[in-house]
Amino acid sequence: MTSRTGALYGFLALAVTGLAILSFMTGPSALSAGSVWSALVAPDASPSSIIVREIRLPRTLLAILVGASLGLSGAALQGLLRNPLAEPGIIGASSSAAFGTALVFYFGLAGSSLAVLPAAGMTGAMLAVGLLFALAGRDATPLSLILAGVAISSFASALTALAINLASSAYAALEITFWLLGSLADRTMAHAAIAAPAMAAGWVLLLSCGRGLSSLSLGEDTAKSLGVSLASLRARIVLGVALAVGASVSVSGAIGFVGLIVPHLLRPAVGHDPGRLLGVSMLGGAALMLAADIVVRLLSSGIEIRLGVVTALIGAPFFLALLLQMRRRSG
Amino acid sequence: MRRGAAVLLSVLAASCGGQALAAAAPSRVVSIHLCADQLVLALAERGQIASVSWLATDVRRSHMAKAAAGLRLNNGSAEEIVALRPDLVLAGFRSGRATVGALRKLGYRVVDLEFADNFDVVRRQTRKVAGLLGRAARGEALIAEMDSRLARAAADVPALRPVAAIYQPMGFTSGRGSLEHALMTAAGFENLAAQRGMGALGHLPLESLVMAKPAVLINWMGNDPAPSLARSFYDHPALSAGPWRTLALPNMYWACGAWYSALAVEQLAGMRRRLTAERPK
Repeated sequence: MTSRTGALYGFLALAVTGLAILSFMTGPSALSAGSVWSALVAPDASPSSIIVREIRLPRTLLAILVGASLGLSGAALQGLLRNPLAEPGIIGASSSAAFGTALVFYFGLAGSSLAVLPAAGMTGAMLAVGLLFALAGRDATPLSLILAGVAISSFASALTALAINLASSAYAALEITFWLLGSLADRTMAHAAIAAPAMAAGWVLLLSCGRGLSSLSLGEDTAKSLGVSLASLRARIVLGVALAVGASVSVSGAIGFVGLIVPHLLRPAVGHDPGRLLGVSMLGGAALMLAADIVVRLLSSGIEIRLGVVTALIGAPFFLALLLQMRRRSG
Repeated sequence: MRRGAAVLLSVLAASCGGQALAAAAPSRVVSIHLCADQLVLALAERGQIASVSWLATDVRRSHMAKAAAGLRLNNGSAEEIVALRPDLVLAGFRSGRATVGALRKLGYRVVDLEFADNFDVVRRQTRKVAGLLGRAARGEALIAEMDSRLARAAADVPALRPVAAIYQPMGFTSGRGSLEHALMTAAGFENLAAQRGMGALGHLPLESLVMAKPAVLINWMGNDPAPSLARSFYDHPALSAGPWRTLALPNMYWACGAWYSALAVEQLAGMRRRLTAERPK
């Protein structure tokens, strides 16, 4: 690790820590820094302690976990597909994971427990990534990749809406926005606990791909001559993305664009090395998600704005700018 | 012509020595709204009812679900209502305006009911529908029963009312002007949302609720067994960590304001009595 990358890690870790502290301080009830601190180190039954431990702590933890998962998955997909537009949301992995989760949530949960949700999300994400490879192929042009992703994504969103409309709860129809736009409001420690193991497994798989992705950026033949097995690389990334994104979406709903913005912003800082991009994108994703979730709470006076709305408001213009940039370069 | 036939039929029914329905009483009543269903099912002769809405048999939302069993159900579309040849259509505050407009244009008699968000409206509405159905006496009996229940619930309200908060999914609550407020107040509670100046639909984030520490938390989702995010929300540890008592009222009681709302008031008043018995002040 060069000292420059070391400094970058230091800066990002500092940003995540600072934003996490801000996240603990942000909410409808004004709590002093002192009461937040004492709630964390010496919890009691006071309202401020309940708020910090049961409401703000899971929210902050999940923002870090989900953000890291999305940032890392985006960086890995972009490296593997050698395409800066690849992202869990755009390729349909998030919306497919949301479909899988919603299906289990509204129809299968009665006989099973909360812990099944990540498995359902992973199955959905896995199907989407597999389908994308089948549809767009591995040497896909950016355009065919996006078209395939749009098709998968819209199809999965439509299926989610259909499934929820058929759910027997009268309230379910109002909840479509959670699955399609995501939220971290009022999640619990139980949500963090069921999602974290799968996410961690996904992280391990994806982070193990660093050297392979760096070699791949030199071309497939060079990568092969350096002893990289493309089939194994692809399998690890598909599985890793399915684990990380599936588990994230199952507790937060589909939150788009994080995996697009973060690797793109950090790429110049790691010398355009897709391998070194992985770790920093994790931290960057966590920071962006924390920031977006703080913005959501600051902006909302009544019912909270969906987290996916904020990331899309930042991400969609970003995506268009990227497209224009690519067209200029190729044209 | 259609109406003429209907009148003729009801005159025939009356002259055949049937029950003393007023000659003008409708004999093919169609209700297309859950709240109208309740009144029709409680007030009308069974033979007067041509159809009630599809929600009428849902035990989670309909108080009169048993009485609705076996009746023809409708989805509230103009087409199926016309096929029922009604002489009176009762619509609610949320019935599709397009449907109601189309039915009126075709010459059907459509009566709109407002949402009853307090007991004055309940009394007015019950009298109105009872009158339309030619069952005024039955209407008065329902109102008298309700009023005696309400009087008993309000008999021992202490000067310092305990504070209750009603909690709906996603942090919504109900303040002044809501049915929920009317029920809580009738049972002798102070409504937290009203205290804070909120109107019929207010927003009370989970954090603010925890800080406010009401004596009772009323679970708005009641006994809905179907999984939903809204229901899973009530499992939030912050809700069970507080010092309050919780009371789950079946959500049928929030769907419509009606004579049976007094039953919800009785349950709430029972909770209030248990509270005061525990902590004498």
